[in-house]
Parts: sequence; structure tokens; C-alpha cells
Amino acid sequence: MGPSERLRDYCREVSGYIRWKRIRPSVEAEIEDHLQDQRDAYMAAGDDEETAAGRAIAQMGDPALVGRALDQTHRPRPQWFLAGLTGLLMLLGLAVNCFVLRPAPGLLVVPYFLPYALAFGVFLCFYFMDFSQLGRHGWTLYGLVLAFAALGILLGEWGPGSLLLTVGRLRIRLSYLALVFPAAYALAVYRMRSMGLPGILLSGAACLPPAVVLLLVSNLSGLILYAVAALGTLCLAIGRGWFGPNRRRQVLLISALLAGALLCLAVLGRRYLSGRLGILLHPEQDRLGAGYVYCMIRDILSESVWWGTGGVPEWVGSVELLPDLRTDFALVYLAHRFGFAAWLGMAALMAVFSAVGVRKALGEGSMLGSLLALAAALTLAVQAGSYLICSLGYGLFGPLSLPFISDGLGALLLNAALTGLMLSVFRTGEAYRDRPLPNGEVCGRRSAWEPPCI
Amino acid sequence: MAADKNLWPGSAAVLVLKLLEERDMYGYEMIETLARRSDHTFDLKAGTLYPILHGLEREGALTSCERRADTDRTRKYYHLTEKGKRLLEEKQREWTVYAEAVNRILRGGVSYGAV
Repeated sequence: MGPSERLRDYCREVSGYIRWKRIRPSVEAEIEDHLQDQRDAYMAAGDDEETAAGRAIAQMGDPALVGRALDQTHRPRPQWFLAGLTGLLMLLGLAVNCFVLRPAPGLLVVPYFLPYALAFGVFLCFYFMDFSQLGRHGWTLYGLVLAFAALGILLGEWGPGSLLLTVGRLRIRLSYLALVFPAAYALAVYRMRSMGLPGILLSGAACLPPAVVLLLVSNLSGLILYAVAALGTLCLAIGRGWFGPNRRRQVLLISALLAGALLCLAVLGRRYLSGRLGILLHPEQDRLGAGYVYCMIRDILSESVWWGTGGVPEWVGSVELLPDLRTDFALVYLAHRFGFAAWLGMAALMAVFSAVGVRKALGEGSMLGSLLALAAALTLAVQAGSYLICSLGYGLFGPLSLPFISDGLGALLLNAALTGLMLSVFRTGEAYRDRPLPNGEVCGRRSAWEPPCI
Repeated sequence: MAADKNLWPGSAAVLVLKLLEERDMYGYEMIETLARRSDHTFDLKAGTLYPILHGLEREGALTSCERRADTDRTRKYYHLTEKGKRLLEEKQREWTVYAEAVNRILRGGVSYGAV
């Protein structure tokens, strides 16, 4: 056995004691590099390679002791808090759908258990998945999501509020693509490492197809959600120097692109936007048209109390008459039935969930983990935020869904998958590192281009 | 002269944090610097250093970033975070209290003649 092979064998023996297999390659690599440095130092002092390798190994210490000490240090981080919060939200959603918002008395509650059981299964699958596999096939996954969207547009049929794709007995609401696009876009951004300003332009170009798809499936709420999440991931990538140095020029370029996009939106959708703004501020001006639902909500809430069941305005008749109550305005019903405390409680849960998710995503060590977790966290946060605002009677755009609470199998499963993916990153993120580039750039939690303070 | 390791349990982490307060370093560099500055009093074994570094990184006291060296080897540089700086201050205070107590005893805080 040659000296180099001896060093590698020693490293493998050390890492063999670490029970968490995903961390082994990075630990092995670090120890091997150390041993090689040590061996070179002994050789420079006059030892032959064989002796130097032996001394380097002796300096490192007993492989069993080193391996066991490292095993004690490296364990996946179970996300008890966020996983518990997810479980709590699912239980609340199940309770709301089964016992509070049941469409008709006497309807069996069993059918509601199945979607939540399925969602919990999806959550666990993503929670235990190796998220680094997604990074290896970033462009492919981005392309597949777009191909599916194109297929949906070609074969879909218009349903209430969105294009629907029917596959057998399954009807897929294409507006929910807005929940998948941010993560797919994050994967595309991940593949543009060190591309400089062309990378920013390419990121801008990659941002467009999902936006066009969301416009075609008539989902402005989804478009806004996607735009916020995509911009957030892109800013993170620029901030961490993922595209390379000269961040000031990159920020200028992205600001120019953003200003251009907003200008186009303002010019092309001027009439629509001013109409929506009017409904946001004065829904009573179009009480029998687009402002009807928001007038109804405001009047219901005006009769609600802090704790307990509130009254119902005479012209409304019954809260159950609110259109899309189960999917879009479940919180209005909760606020009416149980008081504002229920609304506030739900808002607090969503705010904590989103804030912890975003904070942890920004603290992730690897760029892939950070981008994916931030895309997922922002998708969940913007969804919850827009739903909460709409449920107060302020709807610039319609709500998409309230994660885990509002009715809708597609949104439930996608949100479970996103949450599982985000928690998978937090659980095992430290085992994954972005590869250093051959020309000496740095990677890690600090800026990818920031040299170490030597 | 190398010190008896039993005399400084837990202090290796403080020494590592102190080194990183000055600048970012990789593992091998830390061992060399520590040995040189202490005149080989602290010959830290690499097998002791890495679990300490990885533990501190997990706690959030350190972050790391990788960089390819001229030898085409990857170097994992460790960086002291704000949390690490606070931890260092706390450990330094603990050490001062401990060292003063030991010194008081060694200087004859208890006189055997009086017993």
C-alpha cells in the first residue's frame, strides 16, 4: 500500500465511525487535506514519504477515538419546532375542514382525513430526501416544470378562476404552479454560478417563462407570489456573490431589469391595476361587482367580536353565502364563528412559521440549501400573508391558499412538499457544501467571493 | 516542553477561538501557529482539533468557507462569528477566575505552618 493510499485508508476508517453517512465525504476530505499538509511538512524536514505519512497519521491520533469524537459532533438536526408547527397547522386544518367548514350536516368526515394523511406522507418523504440531488439536475427540473405547465396550457380547460388539467379522475388547478415555480427558479439560479453579468441577464430571462405561464392561467396572485419569491432568491444569490465579483454592477443591472418589468406592468395593466386599487380602497363603489365579496367580508367582520360568535349583517343573510368560503375565505368564517382571537392566533402561527423559515434559510451554509429553503419559505410566507390580508376585506388580488388550512388538495400537497423540502435543508444542510472553484474562489456561508481574512 | 493535557481540559476551544479572533485559518495552520506561539507547550493533535472546530461551527461560534490552495488542495477556512466572539469573552473571563484561584493556592493561600 502506497503512502497516499495509507492516508486515504486512515480517513475512511475515521469517517466509518460517523453514523451520519451524508457528512462523511466532507469530513474525510478535510482530514485528508490536513494529513497531506502534515506529510509534506515532515518531508520538507527530511523524512521520506512513507515515514512522513506514518508520522502524519500518528499526529492525527487513534482513528477510533477521532471518529467517535466526530460522530458525537455530527448528527442531523431534527427540526422539532418547525415540524411540530407543521403538524399543528395540519391538525388545525383538518379540524377546520372536518368540523367547522363542513359543507353539509351529516357529511362523512372520513374523506378529509385522507388528503391530510397523504399530505403528511408527502411532507415526510421530502423531509427525509437528499435535497442535494435537486441541485445536480437544476436545469432539467426547471425544464420539466415548464414542460408540464406548457402541457397544462395546451390540454387544460377553464374552470372557476383557473385553468384545470384533468388526468383521469384528478383535476389539477394550474394556478398552483405558482407554488412550484419559485423552487424551480431557485434551481436554475443555482446553475448560474460565476457567470457574472450574463448570469444576471440569464436569470432575468429564466424568470420570464413561469411569469408568462402564470399570466396565461389567469393567476395574478400567483404571479405576485412567484415574483416576490424569485426576486428574493435572486437577491440572495447576488448578495452572496454567487454570480461573481462586482456586486454593485449586478445590483444596478437587476434594479434596471426590475424597474423595466414594473414599468411594463404599470403601462400594460394600467386599467386593470387602477380598477383593483379602487376595489382595495373603496370596494363599496362596486358593491354589486368586483367589490361584492370584500364589502361582504368587511360587513361580516364589523359584526364580529374578539371572542365568540359575532353577528351577521342583515343584507348578508348568512356567512355561509360568502363565495369560495372553504378555499379563499376560511379565516373570515373562523373570525365570525370564534372571534378575532382565532384570526389573530392563525396569523401569529403563520408569522412565526414564516419568520423562522426565512431566518434559517438565510443562515444556511450552502448556496443550494439557502436558495431552495428561501424559495420555499417565501412561497409559504407570501401565500399566508396575501390570504390574511384578503380575509380582512383588502384584496388587491385574490388569495391563493392558506397553507394547510384552506380547502384544496393540490395546494395542501404542494405546501406539504415545500415545507418538507425546507425542513430537509435545515436538517441536513451542514452535510452539503458547494464545490470550491478551481480558480481559488471561496464558498461557504460567507460571500462566495469574499476572501478569508488572512 | 509539552504540557500535561489534564491541566487544560476545555481550554483548547478557547485557544482556537483566540487564534481565529485575529484572522481566518484552516486546521493545519491553527495547530502550527499554536505550537509555534506556545513554544510547543500546546502541541494539539489534529484528532482533537477537528471535533472541537466542527462542534464550534455547529454551535454557530464559527463559520467556514472552502478555498482551493495553490497545491490544488481544498482548504477549509474557519471564521469567528459574533456569537463566537461573545463565547470567547465569556471563556476568557472564566479562565481568568480559574487561573487566579489556582495562583492564589500556589502562592500559599493556605499556610501549612498555621495548621
